[in-house]
This record gives sequence, structure tokens and C-alpha cells, in this order.
Amino acid sequence: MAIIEPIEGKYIYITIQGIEYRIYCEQSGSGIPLICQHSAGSNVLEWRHMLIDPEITSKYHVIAADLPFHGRSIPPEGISWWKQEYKLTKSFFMDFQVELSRALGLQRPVYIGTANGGFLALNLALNHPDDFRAVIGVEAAENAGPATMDIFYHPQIGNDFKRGTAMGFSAPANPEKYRRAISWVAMLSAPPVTKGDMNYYFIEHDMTGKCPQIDTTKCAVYLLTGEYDPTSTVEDTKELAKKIKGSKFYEMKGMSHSGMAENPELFKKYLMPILNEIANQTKTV
Amino acid sequence: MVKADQIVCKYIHLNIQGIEYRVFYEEAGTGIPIIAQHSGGGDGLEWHFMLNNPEITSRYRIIAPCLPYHGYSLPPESEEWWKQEYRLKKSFFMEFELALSHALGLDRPVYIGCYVGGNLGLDLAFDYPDEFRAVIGVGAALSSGQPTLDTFYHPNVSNHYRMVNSFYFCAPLTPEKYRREIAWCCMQCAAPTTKGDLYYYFYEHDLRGKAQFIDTSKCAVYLLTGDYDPTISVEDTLIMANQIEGSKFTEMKGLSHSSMAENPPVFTKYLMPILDEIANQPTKK
Repeated sequence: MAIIEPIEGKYIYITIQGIEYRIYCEQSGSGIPLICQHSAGSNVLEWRHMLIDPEITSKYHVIAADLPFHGRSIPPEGISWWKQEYKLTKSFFMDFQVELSRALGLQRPVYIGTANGGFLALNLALNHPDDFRAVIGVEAAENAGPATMDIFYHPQIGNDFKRGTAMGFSAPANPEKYRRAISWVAMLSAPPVTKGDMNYYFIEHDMTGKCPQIDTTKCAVYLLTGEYDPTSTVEDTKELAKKIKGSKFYEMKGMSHSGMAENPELFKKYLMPILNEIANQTKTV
Repeated sequence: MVKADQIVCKYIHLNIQGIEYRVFYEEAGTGIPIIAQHSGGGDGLEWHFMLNNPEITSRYRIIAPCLPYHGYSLPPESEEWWKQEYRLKKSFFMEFELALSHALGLDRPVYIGCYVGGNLGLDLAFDYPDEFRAVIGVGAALSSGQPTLDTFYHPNVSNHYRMVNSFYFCAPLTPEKYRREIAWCCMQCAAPTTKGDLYYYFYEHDLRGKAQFIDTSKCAVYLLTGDYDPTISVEDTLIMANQIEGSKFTEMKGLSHSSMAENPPVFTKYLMPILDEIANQPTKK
């Protein structure tokens, strides 16, 4: 018999800010709901190792969805989307998570996101502490400072640039097969998408002065950053963690920017204690 | 309850020519199995209108896979695939369809494919008439000459080139939303893939001198070509149809290169009589 993985992918329809989107969503496992958000210019393939890990899916209902304009969530059919530049805004990004959770009937899910998605974890903890029991921000920081985004979208720059960037971000000891796979996935985004996502990352995400307002008794905050990540450094995340009372920060030795995909075995070593802690707290509540 | 398509997506592990691939496929409906193969540099997304058409899914079980190196079917994890140039070979392409059919336990499925996949329909009818009850070749021809493939993969040529190609391939009356959607999907393939696929299309597919040996009493052959397709003309397909005794050719008025995606309602008008005819054939044992 051929192996068929336990992941089930579905297309669901979710209305966000008045527009209906056809959203591609993969799910597996049962237990505490865990929403996994991919990074900029990427898709759910980043989370494929977690979706088929029985140690996780035996306790967690793992959900990974493609953001609109990413992967299999193609642009909305109801509007002339091609008449405006694609830009990911903070409010849309947050509303997407809340509406996804509602549509699937999830009870205060855990949220985990990396890079772009890692930044969002903090905004969710600040603005939607009642909707999420915990957030795990991977490669998160207070802000990334303004940067020029023009190189991310240019007709003379092929998608190989994205592959080169992903290769460069990868930690030195990553197994070659994962480094190559994550770089391949990075090539699968339409040219305007990465730049549009960076609008949130570089321009809209800014937690300066807001971190003390995060209430970790309502929504627990966990932070994981790889020691080799050139985008958010360990020091960046340490600074952030100091400002969020009750948050827990762990440096991931040997890891870089896309831990769950570039070295899934090592990533799991850092993730499991967090997932176990959340699961144990859920039992006592 | 959340509004959802009836499509279910899965990952299946297929062994093809000694290598294990993790293959993504979309599935909907019950009844006669039909494998729907995407085009060069394409993705199973091309078939989503057919997968969502109750008139078809009430009688047909549609399976739309992503070929390895396309969409959500990544390159094989066990191989150092990055050490060689990606090239789609005819033998691999045919054995992929067989492996998928066998792994899912399909009983002599119908095969439908477009462009690169359309040509494969004819190769399957020639080499594996006992495995398929019928093939539907969309935009198929005997051969396509041997042009240079270099423009399809160059670091200075962005994925926008694919979008523009796709735009230009569309028939004049293609509804704007479909034209934009198919062009968007074209941009989501990894940089080396289209060129590699065209190796099969331009260099390996050649039924000259062979087409007359296809036995349509074993495997029925249907051919559909759009009157605006600049890659395969109606005349090209007619030449082939005249050589395959018992084949049935229909010119699709007002359609072009990616008809099932660029104008689903008009395409369905041409497809339904074929599906009705196949469904009405007594099942051969």
C-alpha cells in the first residue's frame, strides 16, 4: 500500500475586511489547536515536518494555512486585485488569523509564526489576548527598521534570487537536503509577494513602547531565535523579551532563519518543551 | 459550518524509477476515475474549476496531482537533485501517471492533460492502452519541433516573463479574472521547472510515424484544441487526428492555450459531451 500522509488539505472560504478569500488550509492531529503561520513569500510547505510528527499531532491539532496571494490561496476572485500593488498590512494579517480560528471553530488556539509570522505573534498577544492562549514568535523582534524593498521585486531579478537569499540565511550545519528544499520553496512565490509582505515586516510592525502592555497571564509569550539568523539576532529578541514581563526566550543554537524547515529535528528539541508546557497548563486550567 | 470546497488534498508517496517522491494531489467526486494533468511549469490548481463542478464530480472522481518539482510536490528528499539540471523525461512522465493510478487503486482511469500534459495523453494511448480507458489531449500535436529552451530559465528573466507569456496565450474574449488568475499561477513555479518540462515537450514527444498505431478500440482518444492557441494550431491537431483511426477531434471556438482555466464555462461546454460519451461506454474487462 502506498503511504498517504495524515495531512488533509481543504479550501475554505473566509471573509476578511469585507472580501471573500478562498483559503488553502492543511490540518492534522487532534487536541490543542495550533495555528502555524508561514513566513514572507512562502507557503504551508514550511511546516510540513510538524504536520506529520506524531509526537506533536497526538496532542495538537495542527493547522497551517496559506495567506491570500501565497501558495494555493490564489488572489480573490471577487475583486480586480491586479489594479493595486500587493501589500500585506498588519490589520489584515491579524484579522486573517482571527477569522481563520473562528471559521474552524478553534478554542483559543496557540499561534506559532516565523520571521514575518514571528513578528505577528507579538501583535496578536497585544491586540487579541482573548483569542489566543499562547503565541510562539520565531525570529521575532521589536521592529526591523525601515529598509529599501525594491530589490525584492524587479523584472530583471529572477526567482533564483529568493533561492539565493534562502541559501544564505541557512545555518552552516543544516542538513543539505533541508537547506535545498527550503530554498526551493522560496522560489514558489509570485514575484510581487515578498515585497508586499515586507510592507508589514519593515514598515508596519513596530512594537516600540508597546511591549509592556502585553499581558502574558492572558496570552503566554514564547520567543525562539536562531543564533545564526542575520535578520533578527539573538540580541534583538533578548531586548524584546526583557520588555515583555513573563515572556520566555530561548536561543536556538545552530539554527538560523527558518528553523522548522531548515533543521526540523533540531527545531523540535527547542519547540517540544514549550508545547509540553502549554499542554500541561491547559490541563490545570 | 465553514464554507468549503468538496476538494480534499493529500500527500502520497510514490516510487517512480526507483526514487520515492512525496506527491501532492487534489481530489473530488465519485465515479469513473479521471487523472487531470497540469501543463509545463503548471500546478494542479489549473483544474480547480473542474474539481468544483458538481455536474462532473457527481459522476467522476477527479484526481489532479502536482508533478514532482511542481507546486506542492517538492523535489525528492532522498536525492541530491540539485546536482543535476531538472529535465522532464517522457518515461518518467508516463510512469508517474501509472504509479499514481496504481497507488490509488484506480480502475483504468480516464486521463486528461493540457499542453505538455496533452501531448502525454497521446504517448499514454500509444504505450499503455490497457491502463487507461480513454485519453483527452488538450492542445496536443504529433511533435513541436526543437527550438532553443534557454529563454525559459535565465537569472535575468524574472517569473514575470511567464505571466506575460500566459497573458499573450489567452484568447481575446477570456474573462479578465480568469486571465489574471492563470497568469498568477504561472508565476508560482520554481525558476528551472518550465525549461525542464519543455525538454519533454519539444525534444522527447514525437509521434510522427507512430500515431497511426494507436488503437482507439482499447483506449479512446479525444482531442480538443482552442482556435486561438499560438503554440498548437487547430491544423496541427487535425493532422494528428487524421492519423489516429477512431480519434475524435473538436475545435474549441474562442479558446486558447489553458482553456480549462482561462475560460472554464466555455471549456466545460466542449468537455461535457466527451465525458458523457465515456460514461455511457460499457466497461471493458
